[in-house]
Amino acid sequence: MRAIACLLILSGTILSSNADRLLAQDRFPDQRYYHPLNHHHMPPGQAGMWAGALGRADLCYFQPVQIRLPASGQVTFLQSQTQPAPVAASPAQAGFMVGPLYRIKLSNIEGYPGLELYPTLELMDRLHPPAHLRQTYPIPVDLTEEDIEKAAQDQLVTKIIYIEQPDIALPQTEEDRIREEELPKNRNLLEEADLRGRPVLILRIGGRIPSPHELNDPRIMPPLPLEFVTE
Amino acid sequence: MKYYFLALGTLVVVCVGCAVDGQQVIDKGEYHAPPAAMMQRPGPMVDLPYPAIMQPLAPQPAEFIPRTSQVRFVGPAGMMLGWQIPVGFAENQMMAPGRYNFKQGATYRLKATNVPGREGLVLYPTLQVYPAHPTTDAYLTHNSIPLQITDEDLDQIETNNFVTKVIYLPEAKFQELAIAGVETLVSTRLDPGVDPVSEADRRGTIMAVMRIGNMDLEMPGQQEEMIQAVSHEYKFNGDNGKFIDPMPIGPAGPASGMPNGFVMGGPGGPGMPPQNMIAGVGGAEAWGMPRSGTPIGLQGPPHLPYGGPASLKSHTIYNNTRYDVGQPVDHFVTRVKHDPGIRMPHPVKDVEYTEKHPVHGPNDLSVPAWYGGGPAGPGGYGPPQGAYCPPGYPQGPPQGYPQGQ
Repeated sequence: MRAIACLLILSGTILSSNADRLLAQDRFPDQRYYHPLNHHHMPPGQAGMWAGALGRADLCYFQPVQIRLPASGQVTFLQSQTQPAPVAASPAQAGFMVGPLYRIKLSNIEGYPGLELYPTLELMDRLHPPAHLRQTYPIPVDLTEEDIEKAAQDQLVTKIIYIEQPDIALPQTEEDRIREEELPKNRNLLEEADLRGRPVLILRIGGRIPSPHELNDPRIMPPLPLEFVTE
Repeated sequence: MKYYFLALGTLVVVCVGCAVDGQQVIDKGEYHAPPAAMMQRPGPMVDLPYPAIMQPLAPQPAEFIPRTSQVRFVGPAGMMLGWQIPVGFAENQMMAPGRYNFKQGATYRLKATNVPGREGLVLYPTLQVYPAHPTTDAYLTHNSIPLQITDEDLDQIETNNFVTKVIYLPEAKFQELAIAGVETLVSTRLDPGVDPVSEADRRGTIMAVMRIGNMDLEMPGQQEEMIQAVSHEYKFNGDNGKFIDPMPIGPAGPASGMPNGFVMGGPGGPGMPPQNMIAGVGGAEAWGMPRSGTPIGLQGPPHLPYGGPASLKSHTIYNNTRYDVGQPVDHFVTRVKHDPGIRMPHPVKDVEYTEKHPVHGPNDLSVPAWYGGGPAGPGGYGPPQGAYCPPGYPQGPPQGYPQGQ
């Protein structure tokens, strides 16, 4: 009888220790169900499509995005061929939908005569400001001179803009331009952005000049409108 | 006797203790869904292809469209480039430095003339444009492929050597710089016996391959052997303002003997480029549809090894998953009760109605303030306050979302 009692206690100890170990959850993003998209192996538009599939897209909401060049320049917001492409001087602001891949054209960039760049941007998420402050607080997209020089040399620059997580945010006053961090190429930018906060936008810029045929590419020119508010 | 029970108990704990962690004994009332990958594509016969009981949950790949790669001929500056067309060669179609969009997954025969410092030299390189891969798609969408014929390359060609230049995007995980840049492998700079294509494939993803030798493809009187003979001929020369797109020579087009180094779908017709097939898109078979032979003699996925005789006699899979999905019910009863119950005014049976019409004078009419003057209705910028709502979408933004400014 003493042996049976001993057996029960021992088994109980094993059961409780296993249960404790199983209940302990790994910290994000080390948990085993975390599989972020990898921007190295991801065609443009994939993150937006997944965001749309996750229900983040709202067909009645345009997220304002502000494109800021290092100096003066022109920003053309390309959209479907049936709609005229609005043109604005930098900093230029327009509203985009979460999901589709948009393409813009940068031209007349000060210090780069004749250079035209066609970056793409896709929104994975949106901001939630009070309704009357929607246009006051757009997502800022800052392009530096270094970005433009690298794109002109046919190098691909990928930028991911995220909303920082308050408890791990850098305790530093934000200046005119948002803080930028350059990471080694072997790191997955989407995973790094996930670590630091909530990624909302991917911008890719290179030196390719799209042909008229490409500008009709439904992946590049979605038949979706953008919101352009004139001053 | 008590030592016997103690030994038996110890044996049971040793044998079972590690296998039973308590989860099998204690029902915590939890539910467990299949892994996310299985939820996205449960597989044939469950999602598409038909018969399907559910739609695939993952978003579909991009629409199937012909893709191009922009090749930038960096130099030598001043070199004129033409290319093979169905009726010979189109001359002087562009000058280096310059760019041209070539359809992916095809091989082209170029013609390089007017090479600076090499009087009378005419080259007929082939350019193999690889299809976009998920690792190169973003690069090719935003960048061109730089291609340069150097003085060293020209020296090698003139001394009867064969030059292969492979332009590839290095694998990201082996890179340390934050900026994606391409690299070029040249056969003449590698050790003897090293295949530049295999080497580039090992280091990253190939985007284009150019092969150059000193073979003359337009020798007088022997053109029939080199190029498909035609009964009539048009001259396309960029100097005369006549331009034409290049014709893919491999794997479509005249027999060229060019290696087809990439797996592509067959061309849609003569002179058409092959297709970059994506499973389930553009007429390609969906994922999970077996078509090719396997070692067991049955149709199966194409990634199984080819070439061996049928050898497998048995293939058994045991599913030890514990299932508790309940039994189907034969009668289902729902009882609904509103609390408090419904109490509404009784139907009206007597109405007395008097209608008074306003009286307007000339120029007294106006439109409501919310209309805003734009075209109303689905697809228009009508109410409310200019917010765009596509056709079929409930007019007006959902509750809680801000309206247009």
